[in-house]
Amino acid sequence: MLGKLIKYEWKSVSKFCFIALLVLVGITLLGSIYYISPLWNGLMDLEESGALGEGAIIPFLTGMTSFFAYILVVVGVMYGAYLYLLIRFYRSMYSNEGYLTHTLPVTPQQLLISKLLVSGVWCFITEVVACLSIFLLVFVFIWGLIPAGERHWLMPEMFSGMKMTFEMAGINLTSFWLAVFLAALIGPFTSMSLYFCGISLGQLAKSHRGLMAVLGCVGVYFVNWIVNFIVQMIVSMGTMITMMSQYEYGRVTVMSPIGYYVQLVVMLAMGVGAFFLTRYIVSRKLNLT
Amino acid sequence: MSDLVEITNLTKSYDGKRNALSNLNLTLTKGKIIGLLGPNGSGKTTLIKLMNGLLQPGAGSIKIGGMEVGAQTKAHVAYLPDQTYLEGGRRVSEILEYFRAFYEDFSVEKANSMLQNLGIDPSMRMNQMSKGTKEKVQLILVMSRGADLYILDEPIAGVDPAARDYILRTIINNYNPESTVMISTHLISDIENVLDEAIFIRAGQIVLHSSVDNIREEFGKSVNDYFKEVFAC
Amino acid sequence: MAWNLDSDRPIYLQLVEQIQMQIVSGQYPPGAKLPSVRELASVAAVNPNTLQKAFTELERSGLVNTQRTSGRNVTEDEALINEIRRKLARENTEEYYGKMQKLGFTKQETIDFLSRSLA
Repeated sequence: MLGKLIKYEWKSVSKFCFIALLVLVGITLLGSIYYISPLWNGLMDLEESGALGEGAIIPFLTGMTSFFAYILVVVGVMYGAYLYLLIRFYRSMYSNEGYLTHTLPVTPQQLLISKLLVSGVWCFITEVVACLSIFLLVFVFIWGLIPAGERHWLMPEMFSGMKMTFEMAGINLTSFWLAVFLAALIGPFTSMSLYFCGISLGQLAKSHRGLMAVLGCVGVYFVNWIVNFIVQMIVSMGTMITMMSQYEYGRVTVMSPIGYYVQLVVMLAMGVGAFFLTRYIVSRKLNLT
Repeated sequence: MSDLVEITNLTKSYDGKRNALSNLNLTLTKGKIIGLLGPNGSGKTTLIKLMNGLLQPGAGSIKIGGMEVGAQTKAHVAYLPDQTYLEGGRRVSEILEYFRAFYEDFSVEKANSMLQNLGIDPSMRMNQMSKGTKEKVQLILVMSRGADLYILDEPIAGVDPAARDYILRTIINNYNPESTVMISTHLISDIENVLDEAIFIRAGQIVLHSSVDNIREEFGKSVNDYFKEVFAC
Repeated sequence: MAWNLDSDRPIYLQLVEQIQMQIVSGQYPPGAKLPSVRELASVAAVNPNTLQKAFTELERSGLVNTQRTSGRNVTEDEALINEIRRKLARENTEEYYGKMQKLGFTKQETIDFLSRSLA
């Protein structure tokens, strides 16, 4: 039954999310073409020194504006997809569509797992595509700014620059990427779990349950923010103390990634906690009106 | 054990003050068509939602086929809500596939032949249909299952006489001695001849549960007339 | 077409009467096969269990036979059918005469009136 739930959940959600992805890919391509095109390309060639020529001001400004507009669209599409997934959750669980959802021969746990999995995976995909898109655009943007003869330096330059920055900060590159990957993977699932919980908490109200679902999400957002803030405080205090103690011994300061992992674990724990709370609400407190 | 449904001391309150159902006891046996009759607000829909797990009881228990309401009972109960509940953008054919995937007792052939009889095109989307057609599709979905218990909440309210006739015939045609059909309504005269038993519910309590012919024999009047007498203000 | 049933008497009794009438009137001749409970229930728009009860009643009176394999048949015993026909005729006559009496007709006046009306 869980397999079937996942299959049909995927089917019902994927159309919209797929369109969102297409929009992302589409504007990324459009943007890339724009920044490579002669309109923008070779702007710097006007002056050998690399400074902007007088005639270049207007294309430069439109270029910058369109870049920010692009970033806005990417972020908008990403949050649009999140919002869509949350609204789908609300509708299928707590609107009159719930009459079918909750009379299927499945347990609340199966129901929630299927929704969490599908929504989480879509969030993850959207997030990855959005990141790649932004990265690509920034790359192309810079690429367009650099005189043609020097472009082959860009890639190696970027990586060595990044490596140097990290070495200076004392961060191990492998563990950095691992941490980023873990956060990117865990993030979508925990935040979906948290907001599912927020929506479900709103259903405990006697009336105005749509509004209460929104308020539930806002509440969850703040709780999450406060917990993160406290954890961050503790972690950075810990880091500071270690750094100071290491300074006393006159060694090179190395920033420990432990604090970061602590935050990840706390995030994960909150997601899991939210899942069980939601399951409790759906199996013990469900009251469709 | 031929008791299909056993409800004991069931109590439900929405606001913590007034009981929608109070201390309700009810036993339903196999192979019956039963009318759940009561005026608006008497607790019919509350009882039905509790039996389908859409509401949680305040106290007491509901057992269907010996089991508490849950995933297992839902596999054997076919429920027609009193409102439209299907996603607007979905096609009838997609919904049929969905039902077949989740309900082992669902027959796509049966559903398709009923759709054909009514001239409903399976490639139509739910939001392209009139309210009446939507209701017919929902009834077909329910009656295409081979469930142990069918619970129909107000299936004939607000439909024209021809559709009402069709609905009643569909219920009769799908009757089998192993399953029970419970129909809630306040339009008694329309369905009286189709019923084995009548349950009168008032203010969240069962006031009468008897066979239709017993009521006629004992009181010398139709269930409809007797109902009017019992519920006269 | 749904059958017309009175609202104040048990439904199964009325079903017995209607089926009896259909047999006596020749709609179902002796030995004829009767529709299944489900079919007839659907036509009459009545509860299948109630119709089953009516059939059981008809079987008890001998008017209907049930073969395990071939379903239900009207009895071939024409004497029995005639007997029921006469019984129904008597009931109808008594009812008619009762009404005539209420109108002030004597027995002879009723007979005269009847033969003149139908001439």
